[in-house]
Amino acid sequence: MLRTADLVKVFRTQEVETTALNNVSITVAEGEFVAIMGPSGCGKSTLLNILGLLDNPTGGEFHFMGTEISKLKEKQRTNLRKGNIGFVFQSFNLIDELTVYENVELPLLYLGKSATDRKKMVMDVLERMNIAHRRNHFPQQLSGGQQQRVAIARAVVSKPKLILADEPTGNLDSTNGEEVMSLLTEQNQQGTTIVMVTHSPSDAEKAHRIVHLFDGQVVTENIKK
Amino acid sequence: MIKSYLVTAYRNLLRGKGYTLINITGLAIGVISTILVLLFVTDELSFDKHYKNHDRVYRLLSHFTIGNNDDLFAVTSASLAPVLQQEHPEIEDYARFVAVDNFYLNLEGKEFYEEDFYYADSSAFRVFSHKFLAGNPENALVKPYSVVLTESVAKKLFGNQNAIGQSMKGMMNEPFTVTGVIEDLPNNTHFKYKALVSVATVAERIGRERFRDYSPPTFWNVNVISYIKLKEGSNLSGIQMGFSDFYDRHMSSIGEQINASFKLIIQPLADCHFSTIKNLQGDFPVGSKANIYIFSVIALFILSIACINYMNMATARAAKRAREVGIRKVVGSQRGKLIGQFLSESILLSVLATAVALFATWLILPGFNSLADKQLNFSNLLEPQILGIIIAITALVGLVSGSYPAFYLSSFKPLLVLKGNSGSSKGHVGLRKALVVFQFAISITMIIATIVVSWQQHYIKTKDLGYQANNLVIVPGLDSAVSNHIDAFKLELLSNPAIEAVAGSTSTMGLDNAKIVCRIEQDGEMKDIAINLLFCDHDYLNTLGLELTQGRNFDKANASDAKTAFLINETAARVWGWADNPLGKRVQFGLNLDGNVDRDGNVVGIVKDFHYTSIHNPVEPFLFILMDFPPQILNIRVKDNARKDAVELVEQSWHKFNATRLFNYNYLDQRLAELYSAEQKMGILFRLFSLLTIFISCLGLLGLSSFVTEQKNKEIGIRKVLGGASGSIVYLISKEFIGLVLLANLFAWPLAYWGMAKWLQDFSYRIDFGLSPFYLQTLLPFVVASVIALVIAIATVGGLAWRATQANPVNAIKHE
Repeated sequence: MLRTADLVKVFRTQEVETTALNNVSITVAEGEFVAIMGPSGCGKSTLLNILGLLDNPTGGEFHFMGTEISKLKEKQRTNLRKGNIGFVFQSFNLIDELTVYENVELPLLYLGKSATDRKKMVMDVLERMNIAHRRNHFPQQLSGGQQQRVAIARAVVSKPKLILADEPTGNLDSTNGEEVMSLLTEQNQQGTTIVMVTHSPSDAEKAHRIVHLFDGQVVTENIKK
Repeated sequence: MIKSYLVTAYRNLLRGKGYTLINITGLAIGVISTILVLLFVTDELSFDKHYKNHDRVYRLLSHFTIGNNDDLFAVTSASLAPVLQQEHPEIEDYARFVAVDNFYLNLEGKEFYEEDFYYADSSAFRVFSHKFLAGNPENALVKPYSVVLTESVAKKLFGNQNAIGQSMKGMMNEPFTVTGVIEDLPNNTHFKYKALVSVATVAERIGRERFRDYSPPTFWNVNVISYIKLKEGSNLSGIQMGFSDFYDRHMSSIGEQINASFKLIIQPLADCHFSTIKNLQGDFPVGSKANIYIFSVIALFILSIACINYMNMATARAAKRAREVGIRKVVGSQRGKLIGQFLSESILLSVLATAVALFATWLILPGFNSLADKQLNFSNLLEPQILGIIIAITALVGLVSGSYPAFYLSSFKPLLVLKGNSGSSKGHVGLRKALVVFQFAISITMIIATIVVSWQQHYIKTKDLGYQANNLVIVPGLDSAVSNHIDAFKLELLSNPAIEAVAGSTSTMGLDNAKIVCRIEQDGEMKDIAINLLFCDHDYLNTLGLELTQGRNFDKANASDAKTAFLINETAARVWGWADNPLGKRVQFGLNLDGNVDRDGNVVGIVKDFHYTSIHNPVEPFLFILMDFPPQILNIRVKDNARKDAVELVEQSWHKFNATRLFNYNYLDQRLAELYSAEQKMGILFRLFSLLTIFISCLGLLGLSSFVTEQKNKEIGIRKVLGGASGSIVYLISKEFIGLVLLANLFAWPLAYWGMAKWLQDFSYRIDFGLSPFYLQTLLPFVVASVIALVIAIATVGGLAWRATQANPVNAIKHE
C-alpha cells in the first residue's frame, strides 16, 4: 500500500539546514498496523506527514497505492488524500465552531456526498464510537477522550483505506487512551491500514510491526506477528 | 456546502463579538454614506424628469453681445417663443412665465402676501404636465384673472374648503378667481412656482394690441422665462439653423442701431438644474456637479476604508483561523473551497452591514434631509435601479473586503498551522501596513479638506461687504400712500430715536441685481455697455454705510443732480480706464431708440467697492442713479438693540399714513444669510462625512492594534518580567503605527493641496492658499490635520498597549 525508497526530507531556514529524514525506506502492506517510535525530533512526524500526502519529500520515491506521488502538486495530493486517508492527531484538531456532528460530517461534505448519505454515515460512525448522544455538542464541551473519539470518527467516516495517527493517546489519561487504542485496533481488524506514531510502548504493542527511527534513519524494525 | 460555510461564518461572527461589531459598524457606516450619497445624487440627477415628455421641452436663453461685452440671461423677450412657433411648425407648444411682483391678496378683508406667483400662458399645462386636484388643465388659464393654485397655497388660503370658484382681490382690486388646484411641485424641479395667473390678465391690463405686438423693438426687451415643446420625433436643428434668418427678419434692425447682437441658446429642460452656462443672469439656483463628484468620492473613500478595516482585521486574526484552515485542508478541502468559504463569510457580513445600514438610513433620513435641504424619500430605495445598485454594492463590498483574507488564509500550509505556526509571513505584514497608510492618508486628506472648507466659509461669512448689513430693515412693496409722501414718511420715522436713517431705492442691496445698457465715455468716444445699477435717494449711502472714496454724494441742494449726477464704484473707475481721474467722466442713461437719452451727466463720486450680489460673484462696475420718482423699497437703519421696537414703530407709521397694503418687512442680514445657506449646509455635510471617515479609520486602527497587542502579549510579559517599564513597552508597540501615520502624510498632503486648490478656484473671493513662498497660513491646516491624526492614533494604539502592560505578566507567559 505504501512504499518509500531512500526518502529524504531536508528543512531549510535562512542559515540552518536540517535533515529530518535520511534515506528512509519502508513498506506498509494493506491491512497492516504499523507503529513508528523514536525519540523527539527523530523525524517520526515528518515521515507521517509525507505518508499522509501533507508534505512532499525532498528526495527519494514514495508510492501510494501504486502511484508515485513525490512530484505531485498540492491539488493532486489533496484529491488523492480525500476519502483515502483519515488523520488522528495528538491534539484532536477539531473545529471549535462546529458541533460534533458537523465535524464528523466535514470530510463527506468535501467528498460531495448527498445529504441523506452523509446523515446515515455520520450517525453510523458516531454510534460505533459511542458518542452519538453528544452529536450536538461543541468540542470544548467534551472531555479529552470524547474529543479524540470524535476525531477518530471523523478520520474513519469516509471509510478510508489508511489511517494515520500522530500520538493519538498523547493527551489522554490511561483509561481514555486504552479506549482509543481499542477503537483503532477494531478499525484495523475491519481491514483499514494504520500507521501510528507513538511514544508509548504499550500502544506500540498493539501494532503488528514497530519501526524505530533515530536521527532521521530507520534503525530497527520489529515484526511482532 | 454553502450551509456549512454559513454556519461556520455565523458562529465565527458570534465568537469574535468585538471584531464583528467593529466590522459591521464600519461597513454599515460605509454603506450608509453610500446610500445617502446615492439618494442625493439620484435626486440631483432627476431634476425636472418627472414632467411627461421632458425630453421634448427646452428652455430659451438670451445671449447678448453689446459692444465687447457678453451678457447671458435666463429670460427672453415675450415675442420670441410665439414668433418662433409661428415660423417653426415643429414647435408644438410654448409656455412663458413672468413673476408677479409682490402679489398681495385680499381675501374677505384679510390680506396675504405671496411669493413665487407667475403669469403664465394657457398652454403652460401642455408643456408642463401637472396633476390637477380640481379644475381642468385645458381651460384653467384661458380667461383673464384666472388663478391656478398649488395644493399648499390653496390650503393656506381656503383651508379645507373647495378652492375652485373662490374669489379674491389683487393689489389693485382686480377680481381673481381660482380656476384650478394642482399638486405641489416636487422639490426636484428647477422652476418651482406656487401659483399661476393667466397671462390674459396682462393682456387685459395693457391692451390686446400691445400684448400681441411682436415688432422688432419688443425682441430686445427680455423679461419672460420661455420654454418650448417640440413635436414628437422632431429636433432642434431647424430652429438653430434658421435662427440667423430669424434674427435678420426680426432683430437686426434694432441691433445695428444699438451696436448689439443676439444669439439664441436652447437648453434641454433636464439640463436646467445643472446649467453649465457661466454667468447666466436671472437663473434659478442651480445644482453643483462638483458637489456630486465630491460626495461620491467621499462615499467611495468611506466605503473603501471600511473594506480595508475588514481586510486588515481578518488577516490580523488569521492566527485564530489558521488551525481551522489546516484541519479543513487535512480532511480534504481544496483551496478553492476555502476561498469560497471565506468569501461567503465576508459577504454574510456585508449583507448584515447593509441591513443595519438600511435601518439606520431610515432613522436618520429626516435629519439628513434637513441638513442637505432635500426631500429624499426612503421608498426611493426600492426603485429597481437603486435597489440593484445597493445589492451590487453589498456584493462588491463582500467580495473586495473578503478577497485578500480569503486568498491569504487559504494559502496556509496545513502542516505548519497545525503545529501552531500562524503562518503570517513578512509580505503580508507589509501589505497590512500599506493599507493602514492608505486609510490614514485618506483620513488626513479629509481633515485638511474640512479645515480648509470651514476656513473659506468663515472667510465668506465674515468678509467685509463694503456696507453694514446688520440692523438694516427692508420694507419692500411700498404702498402708494407711503411712497407718494415719502419725505413726510421718512421724517415721521426719523423722529423715533430707535431709527437712525431711512433711504428709498428701487432694489434691495445684495439680493436684486439689474443690468441695463448705458453709455460711457471711453477713449474719447461714447460706448454702450450693460451695467449693474440701482436707483436711490440722497440718504442711501449713509443709510447703508457705503463709503465714498472720492468726490461727493448726491446733493439735495443741487437740483440738477437728478438729471446729471452719477456715482460709480471703484471697479468701474478701474475697468473703464478712468483710474487716474474718474470724476467728471461722462455717463448717459435711458437710451432711446430715437437716439435721445433720458439722463446725460457726469461722475460726481466714487464709492468704495461693495458686494451688491453674493460673494460668489466678482464685483463688476456699478452705477448709482438718483431717483426722481417714488421708491419701491425702504431701507431703514435701526438702533442695535431696538430691532423689534423699531419695526413696530414703522408699522404704526405705516397705518398712520393710511397705507392699505399689508406691512411686510425683513432683516437684510437674514436674507443675505440665505444666499449662503446652501453652501453652509454642504459644509455641515462635509464635516459630517469627514468625521465618519476619521471615525471608521480609528475603528480599524483599534481593531488592528488590539490584535497586535494580543499577539505581542507574550513579548510584553517577558519584557515586564525582565524589568521593562510600562512606558517603554507602550512606546515599542506604538512607534510602528506612529511611523505609518507619519508616512500617510506624505501621500495626504499633496492630494489635499491639489484638491483644495482646485475647489477654491471656483470662488471669486477666497482665502490665501498660495504655495510659495511656503506660507505659514497654508501650512497650518496640514500640520493641524497631521497632529489630529497622530493624537488619535497614539491614543488608540497606546491605550491598548498600556492596558496590556497592566496585566499580570505571568498569565501572558504561561499562555501558549
